[in-house]
Amino acid sequence: MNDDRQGIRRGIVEVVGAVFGLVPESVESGVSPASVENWNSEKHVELVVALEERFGCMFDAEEVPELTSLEQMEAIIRRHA
Amino acid sequence: MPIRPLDLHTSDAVFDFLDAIVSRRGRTHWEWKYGGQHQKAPCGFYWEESDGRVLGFIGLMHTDLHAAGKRHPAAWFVDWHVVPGERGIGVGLGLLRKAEAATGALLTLQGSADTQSILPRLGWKRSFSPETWTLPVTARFLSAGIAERMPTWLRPFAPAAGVAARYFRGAQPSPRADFALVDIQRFPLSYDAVWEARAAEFASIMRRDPTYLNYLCADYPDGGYHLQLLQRRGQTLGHLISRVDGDRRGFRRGRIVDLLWPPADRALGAWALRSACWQLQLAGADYIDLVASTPLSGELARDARFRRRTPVPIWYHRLVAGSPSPDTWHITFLDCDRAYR
Repeated sequence: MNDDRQGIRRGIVEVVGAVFGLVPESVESGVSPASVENWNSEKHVELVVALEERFGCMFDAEEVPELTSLEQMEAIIRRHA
Repeated sequence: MPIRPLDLHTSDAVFDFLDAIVSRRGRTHWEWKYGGQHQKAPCGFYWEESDGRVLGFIGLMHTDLHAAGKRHPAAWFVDWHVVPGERGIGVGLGLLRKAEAATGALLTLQGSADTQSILPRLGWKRSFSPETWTLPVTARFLSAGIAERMPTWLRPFAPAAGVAARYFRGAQPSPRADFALVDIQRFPLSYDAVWEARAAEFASIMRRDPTYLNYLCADYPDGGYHLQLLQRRGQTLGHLISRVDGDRRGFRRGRIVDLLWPPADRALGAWALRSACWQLQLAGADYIDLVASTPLSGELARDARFRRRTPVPIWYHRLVAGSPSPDTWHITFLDCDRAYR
């Protein structure tokens, strides 16, 4: 279970880092639209699509705006796992 | 759930949002725009926070695509907006997904710069089949076009060049024929049989039954639409919808909003198009625009001396199984005109 959880977290960190051009350490320290300079609507779309591709899921319409922190991304992805 | 369908119980906050973000038209306008579609599916969705704040909206103009004897539900999405800044992030995409789930094929025309940037990232595709065609009909309009292409020192001669060009261009009256265009105020319900016959003849065509045509045009407050039935020896075979309005440059634009005729009867189509141009010219149009999306309508436009101007891209995403590509759809201004007001 812990392995799963770590795997999901690692995948999220990689995706977020790739979308926003951040190093893993920077992502792991916590990210949000307020803390990441180029986190706008277009980048959010890229993030959503990249997360869906990575984890093979499709987020519900109402989950999409909630994907704004590592914790929320992990919780939502785990719901789809 | 924060995403709610637009309905009669929608709070004023939603209409205040549309007034603030889209255009200050008032609740009556928005209810009129989305309320008369005779649809079971919602005509829009909005995102409302638990404290009543509205963060986004997407409107739907429902239609059907008729192809190979089947009817596929479709909808144009319009008025897609979110609040600016951090709070709106992701709300637009959530609304778009909700709209996609509410119809068969979700479509939009052209789109804002944001739309054009976001949709490809979501895997949406574009069809460039619909194109605007233009026929200049007055010397004034021709002169302006000529002047734009002339070096400055030659521009004083543009009016004379426009008069000369007018001699060769412009609409001509149609030769006498068995055909006629008959004015109507509304499309009668009996027109449904004509529409059903025509729908079966086109490879794929957007809905044009009398209820829909009346919703788009006859019931459009001060729309200025000219509705006519296309007849041969008293038998109705199709229709013409046209309009004259002003453009941003101060010219009067004649628009062939929609033309439906038996596609196998090329002579009738050509006669109707030529008659439409003549009528619009008499009504004071400086130029005439139409949208043609298929080779057949493009050929008719070319034969009537229209010139191809610009593509009108259609964005689309998933199509229902069996639905033909948008590249083959018979589309005119009609499918989107109401959405732009």
